[in-house]
Amino acid sequence: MTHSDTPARQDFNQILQLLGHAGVTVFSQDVALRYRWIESPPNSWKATDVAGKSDADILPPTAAAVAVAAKREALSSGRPQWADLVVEGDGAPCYFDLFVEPTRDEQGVVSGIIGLALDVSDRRKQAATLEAVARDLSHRSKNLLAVIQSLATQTARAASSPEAFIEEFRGRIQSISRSQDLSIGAKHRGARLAELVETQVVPYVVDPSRRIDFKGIDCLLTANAALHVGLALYELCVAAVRSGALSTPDGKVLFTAELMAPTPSETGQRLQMTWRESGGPHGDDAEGFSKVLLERIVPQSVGGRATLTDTNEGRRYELTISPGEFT
Amino acid sequence: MDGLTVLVVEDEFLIALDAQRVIEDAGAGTVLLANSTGDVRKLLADGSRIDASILDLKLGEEDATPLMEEFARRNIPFLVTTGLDASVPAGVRILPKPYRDAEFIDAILELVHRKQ
Repeated sequence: MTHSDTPARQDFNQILQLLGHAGVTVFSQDVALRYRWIESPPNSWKATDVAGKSDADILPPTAAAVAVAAKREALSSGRPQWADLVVEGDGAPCYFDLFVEPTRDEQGVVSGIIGLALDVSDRRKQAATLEAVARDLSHRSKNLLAVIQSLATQTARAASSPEAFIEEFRGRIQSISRSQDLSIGAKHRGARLAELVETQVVPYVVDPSRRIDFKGIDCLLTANAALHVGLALYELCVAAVRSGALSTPDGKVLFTAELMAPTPSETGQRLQMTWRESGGPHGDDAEGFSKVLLERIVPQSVGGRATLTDTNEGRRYELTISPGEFT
Repeated sequence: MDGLTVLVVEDEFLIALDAQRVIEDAGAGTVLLANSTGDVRKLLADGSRIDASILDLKLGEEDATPLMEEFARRNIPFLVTTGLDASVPAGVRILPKPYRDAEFIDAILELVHRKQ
């Protein structure tokens, strides 16, 4: 058996078939750009009985014009040409990379063109999706920067010293960063509540599972809710560690999360979260920006309400979250 | 800024509060906050006077185009603050986030003076 280093004639049909499977259409046209044949035409081309037909018969007008221009250029320049083809059909448009080059007869005279069309619709779709994701990401990160800027300003106004500013600002940034990690990580765009509570308190409490009791629904918060609830948890935790229940070994925090009874005016049920301190010192009253965050900013941002009370037993913070901010 | 009523349309409350503070520090009369197109429509329906508006282009999931058209109809000058590189009607000033306080105030003042 002899081994040839070029494809044999009988291989050609199979090669053309292979190309067809890979989304490659091969075609040949004469110098008047009438088709001789088309192998594996795409469904979006009107390619039955093509012999003698021209591009205007096979492709919609815009695509035909682009194809003909490239082919005429190949004929006159004697060089290969590329073009992007968009074929509008019944459904979504199809995208092709067109590649054509002149054929020559034995005298070397140009006798027509041969070319291929590669279906790149999937790649285009992917690129469009990636572009949309990138735009969305850019918007989100610029928004986040604006939030951080506001946070910095408000923290600075309330801070008693540059050192205090740095400590509080860094704490809040880290809180946001941890919420983001949870929201972006894994496959869901959100954070589980129990995990959010744990990650927010872990930097400040030595044995969180022993000091903080989580009871209730471990729901999935939206990224927005996670950020703001995370900030609230940070404020509560830091205050508790400094002068509240978590400043002594016996103090405890009970964290509950439960669905509220549905109201006639709303679709879906609100979530009520409670942070209840006990067994430790009373703690300092909330003040300044911390108070504004807990009582106004966080509830507003999650479409809910909040109450902060410092009772004899210790601090109690209740926060309701609108149905749209969790599942 | 004296006596001016500025409407801040922004769904991130932290940013809205900060914008309110900046505008109030610059001497504005009243700052109205709205966090959805519904809120804004209510304010407009109430007949509240609005001298200028700051509009966040991508209010959560809502599209702000109808609101921009409404402002134009009522002759309320506005600028758009957005993190999005979005296309905005011709002639509308964009102030990208995050913005500097001085830039913010200058832009609002320019809006009001342009109207007069």
